Amino acid sequence: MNALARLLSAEDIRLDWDVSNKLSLLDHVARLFEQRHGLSGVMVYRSLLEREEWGSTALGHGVAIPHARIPDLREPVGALIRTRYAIPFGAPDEKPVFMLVVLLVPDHANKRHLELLASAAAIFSDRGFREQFSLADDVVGVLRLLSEWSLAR
Amino acid sequence: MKENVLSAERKVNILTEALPFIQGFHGKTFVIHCSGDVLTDTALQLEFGCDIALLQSVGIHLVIVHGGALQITQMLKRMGIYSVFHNSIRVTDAATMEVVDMVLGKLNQDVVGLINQQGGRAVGLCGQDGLFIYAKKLVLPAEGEMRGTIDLGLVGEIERIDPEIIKLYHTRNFVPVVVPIGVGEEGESYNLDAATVAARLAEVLQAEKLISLTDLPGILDQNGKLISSITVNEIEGLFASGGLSEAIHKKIGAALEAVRHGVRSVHVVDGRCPNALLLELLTSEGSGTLIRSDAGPHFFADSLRYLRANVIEDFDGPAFTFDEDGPR
Repeated sequence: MNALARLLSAEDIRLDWDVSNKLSLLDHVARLFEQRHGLSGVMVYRSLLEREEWGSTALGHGVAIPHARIPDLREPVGALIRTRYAIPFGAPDEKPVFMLVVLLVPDHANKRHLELLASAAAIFSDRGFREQFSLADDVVGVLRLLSEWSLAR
Repeated sequence: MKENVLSAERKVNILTEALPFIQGFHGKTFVIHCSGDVLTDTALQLEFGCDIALLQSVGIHLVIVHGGALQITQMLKRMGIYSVFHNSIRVTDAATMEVVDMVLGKLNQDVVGLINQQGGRAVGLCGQDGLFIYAKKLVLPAEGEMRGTIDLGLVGEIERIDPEIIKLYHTRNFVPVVVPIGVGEEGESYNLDAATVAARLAEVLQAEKLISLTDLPGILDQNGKLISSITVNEIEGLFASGGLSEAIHKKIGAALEAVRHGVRSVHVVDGRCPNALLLELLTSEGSGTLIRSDAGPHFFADSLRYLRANVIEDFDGPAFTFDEDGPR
């Protein structure tokens, strides 16, 4: 099991979201966290956007890992999103993004934050995983894909 | 039903997936350098024509610059002339220059024809036309302990490019196909390096992309794995540490300069693979190597800076080292 798989459950995964641009996507994500974890949607949105100003969190190949430190958050929370249409995201390969892992971490949890980023990046660096994730039919399938993925490949 | 016939549903899916890519490209300028040797295969020629026509039809302003070294050498051989090369540059006397002019002219018309046959609108152009590429004689210092210079004949280097004619053709939706020959002060023709012409043209036009269709699969890392995307500094680092051959570094030299001077990205694509151009431009996975400026995002470095900037307690540094190159 990997760090990302341990973090996410079925309610944290959304497939085929119909959003057309980066801001709209972050807005929807913020609302998801508000609904799921009682966080302030506005604050989450602003924090995620702030991180984007340090440089786009897109990694290439249609993947992005937006993340932010959230004051008053007790434990890291995450979301795994696949959008219906690829969105321009300022990626280093200039390709639009349609697979996102969004991570929110408490203020002081640096090591945990990095561990989650590394886990997400490692999983989505795997072309095979990307292909399967983009073709997955439902959330159950995605969860299985995620939990079965391990570094020993 | 044949296996390779796409279902209507699959076709719609492909087009739907490609749309966000295409939307990003509309109105942008791409310069494509096509080395002569990738134009020799009939099947590839057909694919090339189709790809160019398709890209043109989605509103991209294209310029093609083609080489022809292979074809020139073949023709010279047929005529019993053997070239002398210095550092891979063909010494070009007057007789050779006539052959160069002839071969490149024919090749140019062939490329224009390939594109037009597939529904594109292409037109041939050389440096003489509209005085578009000014060149002067290339003078190389002698090697080793010799003094003086090496005479390369009518080999030129670019003085100046006036893009007026390219822009004119673009306003009327034509694809200029450029022969790498420049014009000197007295109207003489100079033999130019196609890759350099393409790169300089991309700079002058401030093109979005410079695409190099060559006989390389892309840039490979030290383990022989294809690098999908890399910055100019990272490539120079790879070369400095011995991970990139001198030959390839030289081949992409003009392209790296183009990125330094404002061309947004360079794509090194294997021109020997059918549809490699479209795969690289229109799919998430791509198929070659993208070279970009260091000014863009660097996920791991940016994330570390972000974390350090917001820290309240002291941050020791990462417990993990990231593979700075990120996903491949």
